[in-house]
Amino acid sequence: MLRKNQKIEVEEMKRKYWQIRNEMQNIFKDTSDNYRQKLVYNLLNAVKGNNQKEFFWMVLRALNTRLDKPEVTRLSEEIGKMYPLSSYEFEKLAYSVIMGIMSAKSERGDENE
Amino acid sequence: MSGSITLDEFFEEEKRNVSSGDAVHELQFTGNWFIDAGILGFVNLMEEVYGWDLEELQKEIKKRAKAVYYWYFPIGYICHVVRERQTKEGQEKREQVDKIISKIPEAPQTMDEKDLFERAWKWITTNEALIEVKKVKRVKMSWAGRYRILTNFPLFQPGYNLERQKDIFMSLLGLKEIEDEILKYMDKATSKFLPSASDFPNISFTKSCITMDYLFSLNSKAPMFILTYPLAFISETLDSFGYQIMFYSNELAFTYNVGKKLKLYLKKASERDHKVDIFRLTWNSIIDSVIELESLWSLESMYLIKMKPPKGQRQDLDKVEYIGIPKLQASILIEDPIREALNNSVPINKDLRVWVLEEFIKNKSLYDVVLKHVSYCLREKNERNIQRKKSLYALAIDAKIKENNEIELFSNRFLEGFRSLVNEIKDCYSTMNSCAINISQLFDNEEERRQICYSLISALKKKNRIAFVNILFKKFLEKAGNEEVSRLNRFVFENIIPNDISWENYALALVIGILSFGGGYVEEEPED
Repeated sequence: MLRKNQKIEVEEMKRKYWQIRNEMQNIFKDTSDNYRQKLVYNLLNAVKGNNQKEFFWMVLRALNTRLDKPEVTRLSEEIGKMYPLSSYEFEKLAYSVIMGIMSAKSERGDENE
Repeated sequence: MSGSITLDEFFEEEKRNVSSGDAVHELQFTGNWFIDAGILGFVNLMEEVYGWDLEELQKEIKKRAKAVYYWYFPIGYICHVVRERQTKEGQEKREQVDKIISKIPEAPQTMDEKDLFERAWKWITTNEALIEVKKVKRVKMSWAGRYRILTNFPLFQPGYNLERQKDIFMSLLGLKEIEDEILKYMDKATSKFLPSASDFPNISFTKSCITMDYLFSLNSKAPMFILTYPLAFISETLDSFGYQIMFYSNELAFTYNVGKKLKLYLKKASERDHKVDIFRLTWNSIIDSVIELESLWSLESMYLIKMKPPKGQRQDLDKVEYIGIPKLQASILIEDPIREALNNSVPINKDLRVWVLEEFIKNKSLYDVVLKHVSYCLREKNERNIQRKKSLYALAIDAKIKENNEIELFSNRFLEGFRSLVNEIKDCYSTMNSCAINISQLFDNEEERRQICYSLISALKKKNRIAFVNILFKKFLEKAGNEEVSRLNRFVFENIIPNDISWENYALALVIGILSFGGGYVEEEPED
């Protein structure tokens, strides 16, 4: 079992990943399905090969096209602070990013209901 | 179990009982397994001879304890011993004793213990079938059948005449002061439970290791229970296993109940001529008794005592096997829906089914069982056979146990009896279940379902979370626009990605979902 302070750390990490996911969701919410699908597909391949360089290159390039969004600056700073990551941390961060992009449309749909 | 009382109330009642002489009335275990075996043997004896089950015996003891101990017990015991011997000599001889047993008169109305016993002894000695005259005239006490273990006991000595036998019986009942010599023999009779003579060669030259003070501190009728302890063992296992067994826990009613059921199951199993698995039968009996008696605390300390019949001078206690389960497992087991879900066997290959409860009790990983089960059904293209509810429950339990694996002793969770853990398991099951339903609705093609499951299971077997999530996400991408995808996304994000301890359990739940609902040909089970 995790000790109490370890548990707090895990909770803190979870909160951070949720924040990253939500911000990605907001940033990509008005992009086309096709664009998002292609991006996610490429990101998944980068995660599979544990290729951090390629992953961040793609993420930052995508973020660069959406500089009008206030979340972009904050998110870039956050990623900048974290980089480079251990493969363990990279896996978690990468999936938070990917899931944020993937859930952009469907969750927006839910909100409208 | 009785309702809760405060400690003060308990001591008050104890004081009242002691002063009124009622303290000895209720039969209950002492905590010393040897004397407890005697108490259980006493209950079994009274049931075999008079047909009183535990409840009835307790009532009788409450109503007329003296009659039970000084009239019914001596007569019943002697008849039982003689019947055990006569059984060997043929059916006719056995029936002779059965007839005597059916004619045992009601206890006379007297309040004096000695008087009651005197009359009982007189009744015994006037029954010719119970008496033999060889070297001396004596009651036919012999160590036949289950009593073989009492070979050294003075009551069974062939050279002792009626008068001597009566004296010994009276001593054991506490009606006469116990002579040192009797105690010495008593010690020898029970020596199989003590270090062997070769380990302690001086044992015969010293005074008895058992003292009366010690015996009486356990129970005021302790010497009497030495007579009955062989009857606590189930002898039905003797032929097939070569030993007798006794189930023992710290509660009389629970032990009695399990023992009775075990006897019945053993009989049924041997009738069906199946390979008898003592462990499984014992656990079946335990589970049934737990349901009836709600005796959770007994689950934590249980023993199977195996005893080999004496060969020559040696009387060995074969093995004492502790079969208790940790408090954590016990608390989970007491919950009806969880126990029902686990109390089943699932196929894991062509010829082998695994009893999930057994794996759980043995503290083995349920995830492995479910993975094998699902893989087998997929390999055989027989997805209908996947036991969804049982598998999901097993995964939920396994996940929560892993997550709470090293709960500190005396932590809040330990002391509250893991009630919150049980609720967590139920919540976890319903989350897994609803996601299994969600994911099933994404697929409608049987072949597609199988193909993705082959890859997912392969990733699970390699413990490769990245591969698993990648395969899943690529599929989600193809199904983008589906409402279920966002819910599943959330499930994966919360339970698989950040969870390094039990992510495989949640992942396998999704695989089960894909396999067991797909194509709409599997009926959905009602939700709890």
